[in-house]
Amino acid sequence: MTKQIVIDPIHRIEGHGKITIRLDKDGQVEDAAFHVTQFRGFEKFCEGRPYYEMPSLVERICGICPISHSLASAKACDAIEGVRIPAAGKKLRALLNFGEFIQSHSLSFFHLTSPDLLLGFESPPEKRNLLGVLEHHPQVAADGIKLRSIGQKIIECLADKRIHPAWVVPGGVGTALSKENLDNIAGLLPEAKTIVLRTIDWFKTSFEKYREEIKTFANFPTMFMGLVNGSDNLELYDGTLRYIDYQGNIVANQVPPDRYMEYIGEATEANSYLKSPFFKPLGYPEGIYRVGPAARLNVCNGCGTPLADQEWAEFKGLEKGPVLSSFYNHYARLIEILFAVEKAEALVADEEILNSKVRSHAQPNFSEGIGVVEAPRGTLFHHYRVDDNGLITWANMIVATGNNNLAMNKGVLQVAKHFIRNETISEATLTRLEAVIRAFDPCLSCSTHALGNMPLHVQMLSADGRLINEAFR
Amino acid sequence: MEEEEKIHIIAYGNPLRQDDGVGWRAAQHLREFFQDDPVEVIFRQQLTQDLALAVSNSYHVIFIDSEFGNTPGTITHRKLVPARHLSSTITHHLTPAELLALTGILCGQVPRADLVTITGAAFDVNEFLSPPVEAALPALFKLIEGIVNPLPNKSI
Repeated sequence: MTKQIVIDPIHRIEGHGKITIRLDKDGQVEDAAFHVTQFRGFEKFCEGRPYYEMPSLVERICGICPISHSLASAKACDAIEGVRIPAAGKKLRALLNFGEFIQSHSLSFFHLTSPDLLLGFESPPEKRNLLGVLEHHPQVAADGIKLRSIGQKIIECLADKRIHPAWVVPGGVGTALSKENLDNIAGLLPEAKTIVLRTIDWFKTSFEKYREEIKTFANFPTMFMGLVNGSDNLELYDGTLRYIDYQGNIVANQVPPDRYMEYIGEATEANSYLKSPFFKPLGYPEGIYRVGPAARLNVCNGCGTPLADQEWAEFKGLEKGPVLSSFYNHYARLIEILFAVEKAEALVADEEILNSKVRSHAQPNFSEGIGVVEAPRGTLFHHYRVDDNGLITWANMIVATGNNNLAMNKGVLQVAKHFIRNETISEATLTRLEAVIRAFDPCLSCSTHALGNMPLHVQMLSADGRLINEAFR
Repeated sequence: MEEEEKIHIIAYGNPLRQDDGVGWRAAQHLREFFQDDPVEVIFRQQLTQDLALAVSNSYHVIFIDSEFGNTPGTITHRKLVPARHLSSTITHHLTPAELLALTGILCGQVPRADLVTITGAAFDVNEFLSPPVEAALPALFKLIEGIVNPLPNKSI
């Protein structure tokens, strides 16, 4: 007789999900899956809205990464208008994105993950939380709160609000940056750099303690995808798509984001609202790929900033080819915070960022637009079609977390097979099952928008239960 | 004046929930009234951890909120001390007493603190205050002025 283990809800992730593990008659793990049980539906209810509302509307998808959605959306709207963004507007958008990376990655590393790292996977769950970190490692807790606050403050200085600011608009941004706020942002960056360097120094010297987790947290060959810039360096706002295989060979390069549909297919599974995107040339489910911090550092040839480049070289040195263990997403997150701080330093030193021309104006000139950015959790696609009046007739969103869906499922199975023996599931095993998901930092609130294309499987059975006929749709 | 000599007024609530938005209304008024003083007025929908950094940089914090009760429009003034225990919900929001306790843990110092509330009558989805709460606003402002500056030299 088979047995099923359900972990519901999963803690310290953004949104609601559950894990199921199926055991065979001998009590060994047969299969495991990660299910997203909430539904948002933005793809559908955006239909009929004017395209220019979209950047503000889709910000409400998420309270953690609203900036990413507004940026991808605005880029799709830029394409519908066919406008060129003023240089200052583009730089302000990029700076806003760096603020979001700082705050979102800080949330993931310090608030959600550090309890596991600092207090141990074996520690009691009721103590393994931010309160425990506050009690035993107050400096780390203070660093996390401060660093996240700096990212949020950068967003506030630019866009007037920390969450859902509705400042990114088609054609640019809503308002220019004042000298006072530029100075405010510049004043925040030195402390951010100090904190992230201190954290990197601590974390990378502790890898030895996590050997089991490094070995089992989604440590398997897959492809990786991310944006790179014209110099093949790490890119978070613009650039082209690059795919590499598990050995580091470039599979697809300089793919213009508006050709994403040639490379990405979307599958659905019966037990989850989360899409399962796959690399089209390999098909489903073989076309599994990963996005996010480690994927980005795997696909690029460097960061292009001095300190982040040093860390990138160490990151790449962890394995001969691409870094396969998703545990290292935590390290990659810290490197990307450092990168964001260094890039922000360069932007606030650029006088052009104070230029008052921050937006171009136009009517819709095209019936379709695609916008792609790197969100903290990975590559984010917004794709809209509009009618002659500029009303949305169709919307498609491939959210970072969705890109990782197949890999998360496989990661859960890997951890389950490694740690579960003879139906025995310890607290520490449960913790690791949650933690492998947490390594991807999924944002489930962001990620479930398609309705109406769940697979349909009809079976016709005879009275004695024999299968007579079946149909799929 | 040094940062440590600042007073922080932290008003909080949801402006889209009628009387829960009294903090929003108070913040708008008090920010203008105290613009020449070493008083920083902060408005938030809810209290979050990062506010501990602001609280640690002040010698006196005044929280403004609405509350449930029997007599709408009633203004209540309480002295606050840090909470003895923090709940696990602090990752999402804190009470004023929890925020003081968090400040103490993170920064090693806790300022003097007051909580001023108005009892609300309506918390439905609307952007206006109920008549008794609207009528109580001048008294609320007067009380805050008195707490900030016991020997006032301007009138609200």
